[in-house]
Amino acid sequence: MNRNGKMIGFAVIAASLGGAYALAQGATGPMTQAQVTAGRADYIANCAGCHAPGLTGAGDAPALTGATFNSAWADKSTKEMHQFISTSMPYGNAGQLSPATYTNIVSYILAANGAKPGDKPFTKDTDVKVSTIADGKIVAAVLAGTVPAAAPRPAAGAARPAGGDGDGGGRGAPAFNLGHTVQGTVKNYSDVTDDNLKKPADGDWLMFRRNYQGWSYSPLNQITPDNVKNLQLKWSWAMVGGGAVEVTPIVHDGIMFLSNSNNTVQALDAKTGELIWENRLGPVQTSAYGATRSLGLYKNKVFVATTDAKIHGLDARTGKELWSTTIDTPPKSETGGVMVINGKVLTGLMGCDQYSVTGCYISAYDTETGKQLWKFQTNARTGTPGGDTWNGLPDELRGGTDTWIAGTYDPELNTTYWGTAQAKPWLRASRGTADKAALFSTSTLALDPDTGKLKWYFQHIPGESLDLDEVYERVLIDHGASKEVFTIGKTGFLWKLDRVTGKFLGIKPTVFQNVFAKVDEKTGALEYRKDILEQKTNQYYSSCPGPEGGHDWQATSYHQPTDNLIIPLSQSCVMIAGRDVDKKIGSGGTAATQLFFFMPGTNQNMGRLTAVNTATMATTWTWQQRSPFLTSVISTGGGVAFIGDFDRNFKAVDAKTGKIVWQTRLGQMVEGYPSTFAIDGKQYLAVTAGTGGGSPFQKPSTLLTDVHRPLNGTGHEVYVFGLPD
Amino acid sequence: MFRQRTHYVLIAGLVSLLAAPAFAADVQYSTPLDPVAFDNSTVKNNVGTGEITATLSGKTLTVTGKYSGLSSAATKAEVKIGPVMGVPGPVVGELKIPGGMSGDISGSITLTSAQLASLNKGGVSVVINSEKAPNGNLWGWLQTAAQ
Ligand code: HEC
Repeated sequence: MNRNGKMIGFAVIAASLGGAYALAQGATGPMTQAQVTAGRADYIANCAGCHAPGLTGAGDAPALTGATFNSAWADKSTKEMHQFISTSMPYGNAGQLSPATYTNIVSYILAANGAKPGDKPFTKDTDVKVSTIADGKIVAAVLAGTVPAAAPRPAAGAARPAGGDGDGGGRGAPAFNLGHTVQGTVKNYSDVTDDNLKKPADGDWLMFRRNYQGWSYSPLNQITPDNVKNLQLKWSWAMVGGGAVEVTPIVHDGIMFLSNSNNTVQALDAKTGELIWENRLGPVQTSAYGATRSLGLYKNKVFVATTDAKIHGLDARTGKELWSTTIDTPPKSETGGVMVINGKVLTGLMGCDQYSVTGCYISAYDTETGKQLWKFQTNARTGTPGGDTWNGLPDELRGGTDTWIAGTYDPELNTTYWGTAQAKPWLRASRGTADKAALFSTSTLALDPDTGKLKWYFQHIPGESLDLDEVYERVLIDHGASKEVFTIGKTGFLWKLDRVTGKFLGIKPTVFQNVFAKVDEKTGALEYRKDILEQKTNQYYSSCPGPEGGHDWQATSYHQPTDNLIIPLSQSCVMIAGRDVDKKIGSGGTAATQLFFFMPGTNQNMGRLTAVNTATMATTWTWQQRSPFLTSVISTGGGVAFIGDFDRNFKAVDAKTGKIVWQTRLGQMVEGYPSTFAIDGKQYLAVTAGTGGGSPFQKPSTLLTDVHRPLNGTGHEVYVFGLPD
Repeated sequence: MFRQRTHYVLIAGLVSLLAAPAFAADVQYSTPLDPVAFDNSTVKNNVGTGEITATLSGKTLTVTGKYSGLSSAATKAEVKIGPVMGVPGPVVGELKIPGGMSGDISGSITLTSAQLASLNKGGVSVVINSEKAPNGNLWGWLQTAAQ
């Protein structure tokens, strides 16, 4: 049996069971306590990173318990469950575990959902209807591994394990000592001033997208389309592995500040690759999401937000921790990168898919002390502006609206621009928001950085219902007196807004889409296809593009000399089904399953690179290739744009024509946010390669069976290139 | 596999658009056939490739094509109609397919006005099932060269 069969099964469950079914009283499940005990350790080592230690799911990985578990498995057999898990998981390394590990893990998942171990071992042929042995109610004692699964079940509600991201995840992983592990001093560091941030020195890459406007453009011009073929590797460095590598090598005064997995920060000599200091702040993460996308620099400090939802200020010269402040508690986390404005460090929040009391917000901290200065709630609360757009859901059930990409800033308008993610769970049918907008999801927010006060918002997709995120980069571009902000999300629509007022100025499709039946080019209003509007849980709906995007976290570059935005695009579709969700704190999640397929009309080309003129919104050049891109684009005054892909290629294109002028192949998927910088008058280029990457990595890893990657590879590296001396 | 999914009701406005006149010149459509993929448990069975061309003459759509590289014998070739490209819809007709891992496909179906509207929006797909992928092994949505 396969998932195709499962799709038909959904309709049957929905029709006949209505979610309610009885568990056979006293029945023991077809597994032994020894399997459950071993399966717990195997689960923590191989699955918890994505599905969370408490089986509650996180990000794209669905919950393996509760209503979500029931809507996926109640009507299936244990054999189908084993077959699915052993051929599909762990995601990205499917089928790589031993047969015993798979049977143990399935035993554990079943026991954690109520199945009672007996004396018959679970095998790949064990064929029992899941709902007759497991009811989806989590058994805390099995999760905790403290008492045998056969012990009486504690009251419901005691289900969540302590901690989350970072808790207990070290088991099975190599030892990783935390602390200020390498001590040293950066010699020639000059304090970063507000003026530096407003007008970065040509040779620096001081912040996430290099400048406040989010251009991902460097004026450096030594490397050109003509000489780029001479680029050679100057040095490389094996980073802390595990999770995803989606980081920006930040460079100031010839020093590279690098965020690594396990919440580790390093300072390296960017010319030689010599490590100067390292601080392993921790925690050691279990999450599939890796290091923060970007560190922040200001005065004598480097700022990092961590996967346990804390923010830290370190001494940039020595790496010593000067302060640390808790933003929220796991499973919330922060990987979106931080930004510094007027002496404050601003950060978003992610992991808000799980129902919580505190919800989701952007917040600001004093760079000197770490004191929290303000918070802007992105999931509007009852009784506040926008609070009446959640179909009456109580505040703690207003999931999502995460801010997992750092914002941009206009110093003249003293306004910071942020994108927000969709409301969660992904499908409105799962989350219960009906046809309501769920503010401030999928919006552009214009905030006063001093107070966190909202100046205006523009909601791109009211009540977004398919995981078509609009959280990505807000790029600030002027045309004469017109001050504009551009953004592009998973739908592949490029948006142009007036950044003074939030007024809609233009919309342009960049890839095929079938989810909106109507697009009003005058107002930007979008109208969903009818079946999406009428969606139900446990039914599949086609979404082109799917959650890979269109456009995803791989940011655009504004090549200023040609007035083009160079945009990495992906082309794939999904059938997506929303799960049923327990409406209680700690539940929630993204709660959907996806089946992937090639986007029609693309000849199975998953990657596309497109340059759009930002004045006219006309396409300047575009081409497609089989593998999707996994890095942002950076472009330069030398007229070259760089990008890396799933097939390990790092490519240089002529920014004017899009023609590929150089490429090289690295050890892993080329993934992250490259940067370029200069030391002693010489231009360098830094790019990371590694694993992870969320949807943009998951889709091709299933669809592109012909593209081979290092199996079981978890390593990340940074590579630095330059022209011959 | 999508037979039990929602039935699509076409917007009335569209229906009136397409009084496909009987005297209109023949229109050519084509599509490559992509493996249906779906997930890691199905992707290794859902392999192969193919090519479909179709001619619309009046309301009759005549389909020919080739497929190859399946991992098990083909069992069926179906025409499905959804509202737009990428949305599989209900089966509206079957094509002749010899079975085996490769071969030719042919057949014709007569479309209603509403189905013609879907065809013009890229909503008509050809789906090949096989023994190991009984709910879709290869598929593709018919498009004109202009689309
Ligand atoms: C790298 C992240 C990752 C890891 C590690 C991982 N999974 Fe998954 N898992 C996912 C994602 C993403 C999905 C959703 C895939 C889809 O929609 O088809 C998923 C889906 C599932 C599903 C189907 C759930 C549903 O509701 O349909 C099960 C069961 C599952 N995983 C079990 C496991 C087990 C057991 C392990 C460990 C052996 C594991 N996963 C490891 C990411 C992961």
